[in-house]
Amino acid sequence: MDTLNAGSVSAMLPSAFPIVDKDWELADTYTLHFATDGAFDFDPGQMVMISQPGVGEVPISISSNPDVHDRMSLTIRGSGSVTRALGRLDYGDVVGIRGPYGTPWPLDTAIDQDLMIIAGGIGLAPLRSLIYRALARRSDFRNLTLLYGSRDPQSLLFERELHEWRGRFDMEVEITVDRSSPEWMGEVGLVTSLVDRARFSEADAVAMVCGPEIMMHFVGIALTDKGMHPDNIFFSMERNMKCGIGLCGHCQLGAEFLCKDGPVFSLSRIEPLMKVEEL
Amino acid sequence: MSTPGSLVDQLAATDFFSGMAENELELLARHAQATEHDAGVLILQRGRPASGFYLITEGRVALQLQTSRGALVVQTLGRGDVLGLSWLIAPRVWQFSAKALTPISSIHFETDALLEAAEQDVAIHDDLVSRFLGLMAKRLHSTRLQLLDLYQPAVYQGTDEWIR
Repeated sequence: MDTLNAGSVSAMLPSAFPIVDKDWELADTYTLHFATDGAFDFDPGQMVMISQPGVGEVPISISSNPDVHDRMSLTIRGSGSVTRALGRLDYGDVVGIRGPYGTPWPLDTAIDQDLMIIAGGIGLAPLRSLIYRALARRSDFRNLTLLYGSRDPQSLLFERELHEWRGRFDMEVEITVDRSSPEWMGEVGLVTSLVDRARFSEADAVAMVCGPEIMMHFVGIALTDKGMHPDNIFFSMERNMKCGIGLCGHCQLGAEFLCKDGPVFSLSRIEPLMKVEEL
Repeated sequence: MSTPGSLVDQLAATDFFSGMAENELELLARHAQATEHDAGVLILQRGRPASGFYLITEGRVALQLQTSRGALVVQTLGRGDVLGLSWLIAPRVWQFSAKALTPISSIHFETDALLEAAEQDVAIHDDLVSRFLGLMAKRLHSTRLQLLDLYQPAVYQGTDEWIR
């Protein structure tokens, strides 16, 4: 698949994109919106490299609706020097963007199956574009379920969408937090507890999971304990990426280049590598 | 109320009792009773003697501790979950209170008589204890992961100021 964008000269050359809008999602997490004039197609799960001249470049998964072709959004947590610098930008500021890169969520594998989307923390951002696409193709799937684990009620991402999705009759949304507060009336516990209680047909289900690697590891165990086959469980992996096209090796995990061969992998493919300490 | 026969089938279909021998399920069913609680009711009270456990069949329960910040929920339980582990371990008093967040349907097991009967059959006793140990280990494991604060990013080492 050619993941290069129309208009890009080279896979390594960023295009200039002005910020057309910015939302603060949480105290440390923001979404930058870009106008794309229909020239930027991507599939859910893919990422871009976003850069600020003189500061640096980071890989960020695309969080916007893939079927809205004039706008692209990136949800970013300000956790390092580049992401914090990007967070200081605002309307009209220009950043460099190249991509999209990487493998998308294999949504077609879930046709006529129960589709489980499982997110932890900021992992909901790359899954939001998948949820938009899954809802656009809703009749392709049987039960559609989102299980979302967050640190605490104050850290829930995309609250407006969570309310919208929860209000639909064709989608189940279950949310849990690790730490509650007296006003929180929802679930408290690890996201794996939601897997234990979820209603799905183990033999006819596909799960797409994104969150901290250790969380995905235990979600994988919970899903396989319920009887799901590792071929039907997909993780979005994260490592320090640099070139985005499988040349530099920064994101190499065993024989896999996460930027080119991933970031989306089946559990059966990635599990042996996840078990290697310090890899 | 369920008859012991239908209760055996109902228990056998749950994850927690899955694969249990028929005679053990029958023993459990003899000490079980279907129960209902309204939303808001305290099903277990911290510090009170623990002499039973519940298998939740419908609804949601909060395990909570009263603190100076109010009642803090440490875990919620729902359909298919077992509520009540303290009956197995001395001093056999509830370590947390359990409040019904919604109307609750459950099966209550009276454990004093159940343990006494199970002690007559080593295989049943060992299987029952082993299932509860497995559940305790799973909850301990989850608690450890929750304490790791997995969703927090690594501490930023830079010196630049954040903007919010």
